[in-house]
Amino acid sequence: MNTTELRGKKGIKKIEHGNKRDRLSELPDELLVHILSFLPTTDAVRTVLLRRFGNLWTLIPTLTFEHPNDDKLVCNVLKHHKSPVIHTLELCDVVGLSQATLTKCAKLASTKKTKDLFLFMEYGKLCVVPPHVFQSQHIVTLVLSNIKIGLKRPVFVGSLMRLELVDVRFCEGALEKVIDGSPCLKDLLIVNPIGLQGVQFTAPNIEMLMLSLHERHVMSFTLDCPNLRILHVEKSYMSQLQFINVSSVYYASINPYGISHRGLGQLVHAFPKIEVLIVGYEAYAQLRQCGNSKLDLEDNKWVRLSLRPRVHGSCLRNIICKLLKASQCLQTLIIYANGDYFCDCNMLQRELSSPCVLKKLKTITIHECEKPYKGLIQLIEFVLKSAVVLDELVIRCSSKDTLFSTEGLEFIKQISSFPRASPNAVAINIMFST
Amino acid sequence: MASTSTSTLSRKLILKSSDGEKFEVDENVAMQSQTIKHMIEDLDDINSPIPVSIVTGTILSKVIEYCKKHATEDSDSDEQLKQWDKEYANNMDLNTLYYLLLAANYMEIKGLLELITQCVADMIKGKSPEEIRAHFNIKNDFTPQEEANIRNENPWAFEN
Repeated sequence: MNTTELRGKKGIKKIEHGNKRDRLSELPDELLVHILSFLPTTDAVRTVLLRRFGNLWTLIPTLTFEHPNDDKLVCNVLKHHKSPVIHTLELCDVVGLSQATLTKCAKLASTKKTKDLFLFMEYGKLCVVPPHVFQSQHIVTLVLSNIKIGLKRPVFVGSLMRLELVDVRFCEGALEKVIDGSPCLKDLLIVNPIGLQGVQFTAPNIEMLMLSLHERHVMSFTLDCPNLRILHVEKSYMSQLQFINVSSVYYASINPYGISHRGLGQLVHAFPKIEVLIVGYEAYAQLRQCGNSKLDLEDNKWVRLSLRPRVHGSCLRNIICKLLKASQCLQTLIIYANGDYFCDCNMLQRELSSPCVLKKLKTITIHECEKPYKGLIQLIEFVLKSAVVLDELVIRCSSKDTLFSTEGLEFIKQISSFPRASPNAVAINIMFST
Repeated sequence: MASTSTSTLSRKLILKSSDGEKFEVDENVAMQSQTIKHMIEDLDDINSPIPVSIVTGTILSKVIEYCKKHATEDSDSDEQLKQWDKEYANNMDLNTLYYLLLAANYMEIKGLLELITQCVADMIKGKSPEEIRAHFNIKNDFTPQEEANIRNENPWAFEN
């Protein structure tokens, strides 16, 4: 006992001693520069007052100017900076930044091979994106905010992969020039664009598109993006969107203003490869094997949810419980049962044994019911047990035969015998569609 | 913590610290270190201990703790992992942070290097030179006169 205590004390002493040493100054230059590059540039520059740091800040490959720096500081940093590369250059709400300094930044970014360039400009002051930005062959990520793009000639930015345009004012044809000149662009984000009328995107390279068009700027977007995979649309009217080719989209989230005249059903047809489609308060999900779905399981406000198995053996593992728990506004649940929701993983049973309360679910409809699959029966049992205000369970069979076979009758008997959480007289309607 | 999970397929490697302590780890855990990855590629016999020459056993065990956490992908969400990282870094004293920084740099573990660097940068951020000196025990630094001279030479750096 005694020895352990003694040892423990020694240990503590040793640490204390170690902590009193100036470890920071013992670090090699390389690591000190690395640390400085994680600081806002103002803080990095001020370490010049520490002997060990001295002018090390001039070697940092990341420049971040955060509010409230001023124009003079930016100019001086650019003047004194010595590192041959700047990987990241970020201007963030720099008060009083002049067009001339912005141009200097862009020039330096171009010569120092900047990969990530962020220009968040001061609100209310409209600078123009310097032409050097669109001539760089190193930029991979470009984020522009509160700035004007006024391109006269075509551009070419061969390296650009991600472009974010927030509150950007476009001169005529500027957006088209940027898109045409960015052959490797994969992710494009446009929020509250100003000065656009009708835009047609013909871009086979774009894979992710996020649009948030604000109400006051009525414009139309025509999408011809055959390789687009993810589409997000916010704060827009459905009439602002036209599709020529969006055949590869597998995830779409569309939150339009008001009620859309194009319902979810129609949109499903616009996206032949869709796996998850969310339109306002409606959601549609095509489930993959073993629940490998892209569904966001955060709390949602969906009132209607449709689930469809993609291939035989689509599995609800890991998702159904979380999904239903996260969907507390759900009133209607639609399940397409042209395939089984069950695979060899046997996880469904375990998932379904954990309790869940569905407070608003009134109607469950099972479409295209082919056979009383085991997974489907388990799912029905689970929902009947969880839905406290359920009124109706509708099962639509694809053929009469299914209904009157021994298997079918057994299925009906089984469903009727499941315990129900709802005090209402739940109407179980079984019908067949012709 | 529950040890050895289902990953029976993973090969085991033995890492040997500078003070001779040996650690048996799954290959996928050790491979997060680029340095070890390259060492294994050149190695004929992976059963012999791999020397991690500048890292002591105490520090190596902490490095392995980090690598283990980041080797199992599916168990935690990104958010949980970030929280874990934060607690991991916050539990270290300056001395340990110093050795971890050197270890992460030498072993080329990008995530760990960034985590610790960010942690040290946060200690500097927003502090005056006096506060930085006090925090890190920096002695024998510039005299007030020398400091005033530097300020006068670079006035733009100290405005606002």
